[in-house]
Amino acid sequence: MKVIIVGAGEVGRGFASVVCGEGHEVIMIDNSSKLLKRVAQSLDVMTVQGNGVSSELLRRLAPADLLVAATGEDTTNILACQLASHMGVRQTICRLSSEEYFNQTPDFFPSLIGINQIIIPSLECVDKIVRCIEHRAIIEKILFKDVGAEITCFKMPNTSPLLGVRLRDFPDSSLIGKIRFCGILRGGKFIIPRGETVFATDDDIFVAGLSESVMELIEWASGEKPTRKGDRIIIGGAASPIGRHLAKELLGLGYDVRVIEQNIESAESLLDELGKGLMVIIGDPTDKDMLEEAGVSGAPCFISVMEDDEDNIMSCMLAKKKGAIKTVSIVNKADYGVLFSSLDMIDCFFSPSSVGVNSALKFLEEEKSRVLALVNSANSFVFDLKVEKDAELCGTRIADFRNLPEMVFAFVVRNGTMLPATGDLRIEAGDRVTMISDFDTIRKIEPYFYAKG
Amino acid sequence: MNFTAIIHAMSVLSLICGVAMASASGVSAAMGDPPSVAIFFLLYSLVMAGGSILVFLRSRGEHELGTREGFLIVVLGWLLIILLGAVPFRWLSSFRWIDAIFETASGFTTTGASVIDQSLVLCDGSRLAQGLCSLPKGLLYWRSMTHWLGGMGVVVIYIAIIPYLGIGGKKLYQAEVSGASSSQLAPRITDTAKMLWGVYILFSAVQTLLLMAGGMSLFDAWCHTCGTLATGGFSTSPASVSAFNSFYIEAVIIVFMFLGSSNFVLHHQMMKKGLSVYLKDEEFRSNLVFTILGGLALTFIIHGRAIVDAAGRAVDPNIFNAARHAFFQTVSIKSTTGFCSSDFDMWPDTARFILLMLMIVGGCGGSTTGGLKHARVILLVKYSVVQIKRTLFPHSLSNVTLNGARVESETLHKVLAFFFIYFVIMAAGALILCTQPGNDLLSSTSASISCIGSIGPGLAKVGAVCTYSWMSDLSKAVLAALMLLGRLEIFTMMVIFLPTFWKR
Repeated sequence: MKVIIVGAGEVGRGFASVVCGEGHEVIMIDNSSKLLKRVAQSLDVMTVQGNGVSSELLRRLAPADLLVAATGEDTTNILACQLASHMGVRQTICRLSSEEYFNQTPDFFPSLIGINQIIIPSLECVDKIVRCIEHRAIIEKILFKDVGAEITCFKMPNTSPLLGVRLRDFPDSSLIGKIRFCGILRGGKFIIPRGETVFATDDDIFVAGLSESVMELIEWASGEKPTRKGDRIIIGGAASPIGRHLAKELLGLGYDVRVIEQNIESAESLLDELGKGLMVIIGDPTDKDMLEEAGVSGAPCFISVMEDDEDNIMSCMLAKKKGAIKTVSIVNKADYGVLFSSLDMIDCFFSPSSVGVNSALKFLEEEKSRVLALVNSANSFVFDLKVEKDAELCGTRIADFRNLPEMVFAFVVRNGTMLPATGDLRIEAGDRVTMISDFDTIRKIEPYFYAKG
Repeated sequence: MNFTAIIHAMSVLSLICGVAMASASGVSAAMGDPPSVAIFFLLYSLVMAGGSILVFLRSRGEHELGTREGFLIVVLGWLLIILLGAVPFRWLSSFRWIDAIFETASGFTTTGASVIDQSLVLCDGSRLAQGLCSLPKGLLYWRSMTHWLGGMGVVVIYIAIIPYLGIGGKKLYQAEVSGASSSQLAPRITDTAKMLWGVYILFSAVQTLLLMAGGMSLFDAWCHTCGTLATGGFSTSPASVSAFNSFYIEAVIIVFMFLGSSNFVLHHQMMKKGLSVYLKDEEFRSNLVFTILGGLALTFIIHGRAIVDAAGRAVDPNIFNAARHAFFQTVSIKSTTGFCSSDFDMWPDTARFILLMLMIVGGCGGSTTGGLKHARVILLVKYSVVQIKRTLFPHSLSNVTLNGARVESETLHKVLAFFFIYFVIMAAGALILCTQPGNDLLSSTSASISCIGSIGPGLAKVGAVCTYSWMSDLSKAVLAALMLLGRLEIFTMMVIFLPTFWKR
C-alpha cells in the first residue's frame, strides 16, 4: 500500500513508523527540512520537502492508497485531503483539533468533500482520560462499544487480595469464568500470565471481558469503589482544546469540576462556554497555594493538561504531595512517555499524539486483520483476526493452543456477542478473535487463522 | 555492535559472489577451457554457496541494523568479496596473492588497472606466456563479472533481495552509493535498489546486443559490456578495444560509457518521463559539457599529429580519426572506465594534462564511476564564487543551489572535507609510491590519481598500453587500498578507523 503523510510532526512521524513497520510504502511531505531529515534518519520512507496542499506536488505523488493529513493546521489538513481525493488518492484521513468544522450540520458529511475519516486526537485523549477516572486503580481502558467489552489495565494496589495469588488458584471461580487476564506489565516488560504466574505488587494487569465483569474484578481486587458523581476533579490548565473538552465532558458526567488556569481571558471564555457548575481558579497550577485553594487534598483525581510537559510533571507531583489520590497528565512530546512511566507520583498519562496515531491506525483496515487500538502503557497493539473456514484454529480449545507462547487471546466475538477467551472455549469459523500483541507476532499467528493452502 | 547481523549480511554477499562464480563455470565449459577450469569454478562456487547458506541459516532472524553496523557491513563485505574473488586467480593461473588481490580489487572497484602481461611474475617465479591471451576464458569472464557486480554495488543487491532491512537498508545504501547526496526512486529503499539494478541489467542487455551486432562474439560483447557500463575497463584483449578496430564498436562503447557515468536514478526517470529529465539535471548537463569541451580540445590538440592506436598500428591523422580517438579517450577517462583506443601517453603534454584533470573530476553521483563527482565540483565552484562575493557583502547568507534547491551548509562542508581528504589521500598514496624503486614522479602521481578515481591507466610507466605488474608489492597494496577508498567514497571506509566507532 502506498501511503502519503502530510506533516512530519509527532502524529505524522508516529503513524509513519507503524505503517513502515507493516511494510507499506510511505512518502512524507513537510515544509520543514529539519523535521524531514529527522524522519529520514530513522525510518525507511521517502521525504519530499514542499507544501502538502500544493496540487502540483500531490498530482506528482498520486495515485496512492491513503493520505493522512496530520499537520497542526486544521484548514491545511482539510484542503490536503480534498485535493488528494481529487487527484486519485483512494482514502483520506484528516486530523483536526476540534469538532467545530463538521459537527453542526448533520446533513453535511466530510465525505462529500473527499475526507473519508476524521481523527480528533484531543477529543480521543479526553475520552481516554475520562475513562481512566472511573476508578482509582485504572491506568488505561480500551472500550469495544459494539459488543460492550473492554480491555482494561489497572495497577495492583498494595492491599489487594490478589497479591501473591497464583493465577491457577484464583479464588472466585464465577468471576474468572467471565474475564480473561491478558497481560501483566512488570518492570516495563509485557508478560503473558499463565497458570503458574503469581501476581505481585506494582504489576499493571490487563483484563479483558464485559465491562461489568471487569469493573467487578477491579473493585474486588482493589477493595475500593469507583469514583462517584459529585466527586471533586481538578484540572490544571484549561487554555488548550483538551482542557476545554475535558472540563465540558466531566461537567456533563456530573463531577464537581474545578479548573486552575493562569490566563484570565481563556478562563473567562471557558466560563462563558460552560457556565453553571464550573469553578475556575485564576492562578498557576504549579503553585501549591492554588492547588490547596482548589481543594486538591483528598481529591479523587487531579488532571494536568498544560502545553508544557515540565509544568505537567511539576503540578502532578505537587498535587500528589498535597494529597490528591490520583494524578493524570498529558504528555505533549511522545518521547517523554518513558520518563513519565518511571515517575511514581503520576498515576497515568496520555500523549495526544500517540492517541492520534492510534485512532488513525484504526482506519488502516485490511481484509482479515485489523488494528483496533494501540495500548499506550504496554506499547503494543490490539488486533483482531477473523477465523476462516477450515483454518487450523477451527475447533481448537484455547487451552490446547500452545504454538505461540508470546501470544494471548483477549476475547472472541461470535455473532455480535463477546465471549471471554477462557481455556475451555472452542474457536469456530467466523469468530473474530481479539488479542494484544506486536506486529511481529501478528505475522506469526496469521497462518493459523487462514484456510489451509 | 550486532555481530550476528553483520555475519548474516556477509553470508548473503558471499552467496551472491558464489552464484556469479557458478556462471563462470558454465562460461568456461562453453568457451573450451581445459575441463579442470570449469570444474574448479563449479566446486568453488558450490563450497562458497554451501558455506554461505549454512551461515545464513545459523544467523537467521530479523536483525536491527544501526549506523555502525551499516558501515561495517559495507567495508567488511567489500573486503570479503575481494578475498573470495581473488582465489580463482591464485588457483587457476598461480598468481601471487598480492597480484590476485590487486586484480580483484581493481575489478570490483571498477578501476580496471591490471597486472596481467608477460612481465607478471607468478608464484613459482615463472612468467605468463602471452599475458591476457594465455589465461582461461572462464577466468577472463570472472574478471569482467567483478566489474559488473561492483559497478552497481553488491550491497545494493543485498538491499534489493533482503526484504526486511528497513531503515538499516537505507544506511547501507547511503554508505555504498556514490555522490554528494543519495536520491531515492521509491518510498522503500529495497524498491529503489531493485529499480536501479533493473535499469542496470536492461542497459547491459541492450549494449551486449548492440556490440554483437557489430560483429563481436557473445563472450567478448558481454565482457566489454561489463567493462563499459560498470565503467571498469577490463578488456578481453591486451590491445583493449583497438583489437576490434571498428568505429561502430567504439561508438557504442562511448555511448554506454557516458550512460554509465550518469546517475542511474535519472535513467529510470527517463524511462517514465522521456529524455527531458536528463537536460533538467544540472549534474548531467555539467557532465555533458565537460565531455564535449574535453573532446573538442583534445581533437584540436592531437589533430595533425601521429596517432598510434592501442594495438600499435599507426592511424591516418585526419580530422575524423583525431576526433574519434579524442572523444573515445575523453569519455573513457572522464567516465573513469579506462578503455584505450589509442596510446594517449604519446600525445602532447597539454592533452595528457587535460586527461589527468578529467580523471580527478570523474562522473555523476549515483553512477558507477569514481572520482570527485560532478555534483561536488559544481558545489565547490559555486561555493567559491559565493565566498568571493561575501568579501563584499560580509553579512549575506551563502546561497548555493543545485537543481534549483538550496544546498545546506552542512552538505557544503561535507563536500569541502571530502575534497580535502581526497587530495590528501591521493598525495599520501603518491608519496609512498615514490619511495619504491623504479617509480618516477609522474608514474607515481598518475597511478595514485588513477586508482583512487577508479580509472585504471595512468601516465608514463602506467600509461595506456602498460600495466601495473612491474610495481613492487607495497605499491600494489597501496594502490589496491586507494581503489577501495575511492569506490566507497572515503568517509565510509575511514569511519571504521575512528576509535569512537568501536565504543558505544
